[in-house]
Amino acid sequence: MKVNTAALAGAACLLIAGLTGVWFGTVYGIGSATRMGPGFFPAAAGGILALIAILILILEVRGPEPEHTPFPWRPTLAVLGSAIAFMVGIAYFGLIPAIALTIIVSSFGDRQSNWPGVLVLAVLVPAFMGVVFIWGLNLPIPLFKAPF
Amino acid sequence: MDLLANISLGLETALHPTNLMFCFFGVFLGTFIGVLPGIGSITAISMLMPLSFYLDPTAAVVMLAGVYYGAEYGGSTASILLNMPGTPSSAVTCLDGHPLAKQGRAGVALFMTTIASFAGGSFGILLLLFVGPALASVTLSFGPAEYFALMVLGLVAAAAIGNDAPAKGMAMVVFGLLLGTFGADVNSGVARFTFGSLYLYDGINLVVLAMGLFGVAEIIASIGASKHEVPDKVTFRSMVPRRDEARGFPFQALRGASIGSFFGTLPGTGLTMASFVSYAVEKRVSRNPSAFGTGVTAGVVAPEAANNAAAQTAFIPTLTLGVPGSATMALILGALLIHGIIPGPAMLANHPDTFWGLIMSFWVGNLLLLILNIPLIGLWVRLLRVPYHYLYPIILSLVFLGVYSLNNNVYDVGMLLVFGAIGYGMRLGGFSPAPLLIGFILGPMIEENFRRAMMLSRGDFGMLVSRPITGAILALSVLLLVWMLVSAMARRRAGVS
Repeated sequence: MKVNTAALAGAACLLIAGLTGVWFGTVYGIGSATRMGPGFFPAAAGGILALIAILILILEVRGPEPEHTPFPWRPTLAVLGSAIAFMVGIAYFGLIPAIALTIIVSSFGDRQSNWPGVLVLAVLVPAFMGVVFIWGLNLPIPLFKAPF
Repeated sequence: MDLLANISLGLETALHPTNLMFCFFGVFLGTFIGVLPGIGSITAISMLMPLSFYLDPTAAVVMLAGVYYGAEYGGSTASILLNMPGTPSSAVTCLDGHPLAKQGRAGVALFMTTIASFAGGSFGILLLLFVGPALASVTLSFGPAEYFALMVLGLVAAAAIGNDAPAKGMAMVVFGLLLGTFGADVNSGVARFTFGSLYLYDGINLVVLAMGLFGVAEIIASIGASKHEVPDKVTFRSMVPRRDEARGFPFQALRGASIGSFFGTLPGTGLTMASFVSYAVEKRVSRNPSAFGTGVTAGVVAPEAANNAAAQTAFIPTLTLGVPGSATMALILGALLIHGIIPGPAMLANHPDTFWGLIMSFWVGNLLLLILNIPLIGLWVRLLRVPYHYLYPIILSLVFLGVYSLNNNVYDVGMLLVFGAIGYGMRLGGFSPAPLLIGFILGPMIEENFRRAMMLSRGDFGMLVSRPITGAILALSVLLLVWMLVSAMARRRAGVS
């Protein structure tokens, strides 16, 4: 029997999240119904979440088979990588390099991207954003900065 | 007379040059995002949220709302030209819109959907004008218990958005509630789920959450998925409908708008349901139902009138009760709250200019959209010719920069990444992110009202059931929950056997 592993894993995560909510709720203090402590609501929400997660686990094990599609590693890694590139760029080099890095790294996600096009974008988009966000909207972000 | 005074106050506010400019900006961006398949109005609205903090509250909400209904106009363009819905609610427009385009009649389809959208939108605005204030005056007597009950109803209805799996929808709503409790507790100042760091002390940022769950996840899902077709040019001459098509139009649009207004006002049902139901109804009342799907204008007019009417009437529960019916509405509610405007009867009394200005701006916005979508249709056709692999890096960098500019903090981008991964994982497992967002935004309000109600009743839970309005609303929520579970079971059984 095949099961929808993604849905099962999701339900398991939700179960853990719910139990965590209950646990921390008791730590923060449940209080009484008249004077609720800070933990009352998280504990209640966590408890309900855990119950629903168990219900989903039961339903999904007997559920219909999912259609199998390969996991899109390429787009996922490119988007995650571009976010990391952006963080490094904006923290150490300034806005313009950060945006250029984002454009270049994220372009790896699609096989149709071609180098000339990507490089043109990596020059034009940061310049445009610099004009709009820094000069136009006065965001306090340096365009360039020295890393150390 | 009172209404007239309010309308003129609204018009004055809506036509103020600043508001007019942001209205135009909103509907323009909305159409843009709507035309692009794969990226929805939630992403666009959360992208503009950081910018809206700097604006006057009226201008901010006028702009964000413009993105929302503007996307409904744009969504049909991609459906007709590429057979790929730009927004979920325009999926049904593909059925007859794309066959029309294949017959070389894309112009007619685009023209008629735009006029239908305008008709539907206007119908919805009229309803909003008359029903909104009446509903708000009913809620004047509501106490915390009633608000708690209303929000429970809103949450249960929100779970119905992911309607093929109500258990998953419910789980997402409650997960959203749990995420909403992150940060300092308002009453005691106890830091909840901050794991010892100051970063989470103010709670999870709404913009970061929405952009991660929707924006980043949508971009990952649509890279490589878009099959690239080049749409033909659309000329003005090709927009003229046949006489029989023009004659049927008023009735089709009116039916669509009525159905749309009904579903728009109900929390949780939303635009997609409105457009699908009105297509089904139109097919049933048609003299020639077998022609549907081969390219009849009735099949695009009714659903487009419906989803635009629903887009406007969705503001009724949001503005008058403070209970958002959809994730987008929840986001707009969040924007109002950030500006210190609490939707509900108090908004009419304390911020009449924002309330009426917003409603009248819908009309201004719809008029602008008429211009954007008929004379300027060539612009959007050209946009569809730009390959997606040039567009998504630009959108992604706007998302990152938008999130970073919230607090000039790289941790926000890190959190965005976390929620993007969660959002994409949820998609794979068939969990819909929309109910989560509604739960997240309503969470703190529901907790506050629940606490107050319990304090007033000295901890007596029975009070929730014994008060007539509260009891009735809670009973309705339970009924909805049971109906949802039973119908899902029935569907499951039908699917298995």
